Amino acid sequence: MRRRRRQWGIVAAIALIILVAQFSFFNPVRDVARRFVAAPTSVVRHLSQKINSSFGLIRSVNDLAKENAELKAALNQKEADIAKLATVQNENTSLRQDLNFSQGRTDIKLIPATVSEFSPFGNYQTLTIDKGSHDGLKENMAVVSQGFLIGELKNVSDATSEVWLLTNSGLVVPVRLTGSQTTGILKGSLRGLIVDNIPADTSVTVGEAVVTSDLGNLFPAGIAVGKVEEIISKKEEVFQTARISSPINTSSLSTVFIVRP
Amino acid sequence: MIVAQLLVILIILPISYGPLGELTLRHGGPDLFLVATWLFAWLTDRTNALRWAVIAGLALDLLNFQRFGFWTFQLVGLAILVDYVRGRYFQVSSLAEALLALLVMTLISLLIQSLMTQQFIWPVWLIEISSNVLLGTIMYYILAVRFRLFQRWFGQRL
Repeated sequence: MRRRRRQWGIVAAIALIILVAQFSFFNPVRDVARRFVAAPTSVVRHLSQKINSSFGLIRSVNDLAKENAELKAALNQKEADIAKLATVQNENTSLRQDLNFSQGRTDIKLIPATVSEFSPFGNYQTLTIDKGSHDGLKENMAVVSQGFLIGELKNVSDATSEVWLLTNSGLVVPVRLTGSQTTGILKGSLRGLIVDNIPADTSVTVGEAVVTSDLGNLFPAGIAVGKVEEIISKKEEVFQTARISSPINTSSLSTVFIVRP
Repeated sequence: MIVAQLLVILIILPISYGPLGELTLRHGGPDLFLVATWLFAWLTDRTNALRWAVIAGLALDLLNFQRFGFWTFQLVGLAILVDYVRGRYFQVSSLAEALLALLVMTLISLLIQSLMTQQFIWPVWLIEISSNVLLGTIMYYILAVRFRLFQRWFGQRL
């Protein structure tokens, strides 16, 4: 009897927590949890990257085993240095591109944010950043990396926010094809990033740049999105559809910038 | 068991939201929370399964941006479902039936997530189902065959 009462007590407590958590005053608790998990997540990410590079190193050691031991050690050291330098260089290039983008656009302000977590559920295509409404972020702001649009802020809490990546099919972004000067709608799909609703009489060229459009006042105009990879619609269709490629690998992002108009 | 469950959650969380999240974003990957729920529901008793589902569900609710309770209800519902079918329709000691239960769980979970997000990314479905089943087979082998947990808990020999 007592055990049953205790079980019902636990169920009631959980139900109460879930009920209370529906209100916005519970947001700081969720923010703290996200920030708390961000630290070990970052450690595990670095560890997995190190393990990956170590495997690369082990492979190269096996190849060099035919050479003498001194050369092998020197080469290993050099490879490790090169890998380290390459990482720094990549980071440097990425930040330089962000800086160039920021300097080139005086009409917008960029707020840097660190990627703290990636959603482990494939259907979501989201990531969490360590900035929120306390840092001036609002829903529907554009998120860029190296000057390219990568997504949109969808859920903004006090100290953390959720970014919906362009690959999320729930996200719709008006874009402009710079060569043909026509507009279209960008969305994520099974076929990758696609732009549809391009009028059939428009001549779209493979390789032409795609930038954001100010249609609907969603994002500032002119932010690079990618380039046209191929036209995937059939000739008889009313609108054309183009597949877009973005140079940004979203799964390896560590820093992003929020565009504040 | 509660200490073991807390340890499991401490291990799973950073892996899921770190390297596995990166992998999932690129290609899709296993859902560690779901596989763990299946393991606790299949290999232990109802109390342990429900406790795990609540702990993991609350952790996911805290970390994600969906309405609070979404993950808790989902995992608790799946744990109850597995616990219900395990004794009645499936043989606990059969690997094939255990994996069938995991497959059904994965399908239900993916369907719920897809309905919530309005996203039906079939490659993600395919990869998640196959990786969950693969991971489930490995975990089942380690826990049930190597450590003979069935014999200890149910007296059944595999």
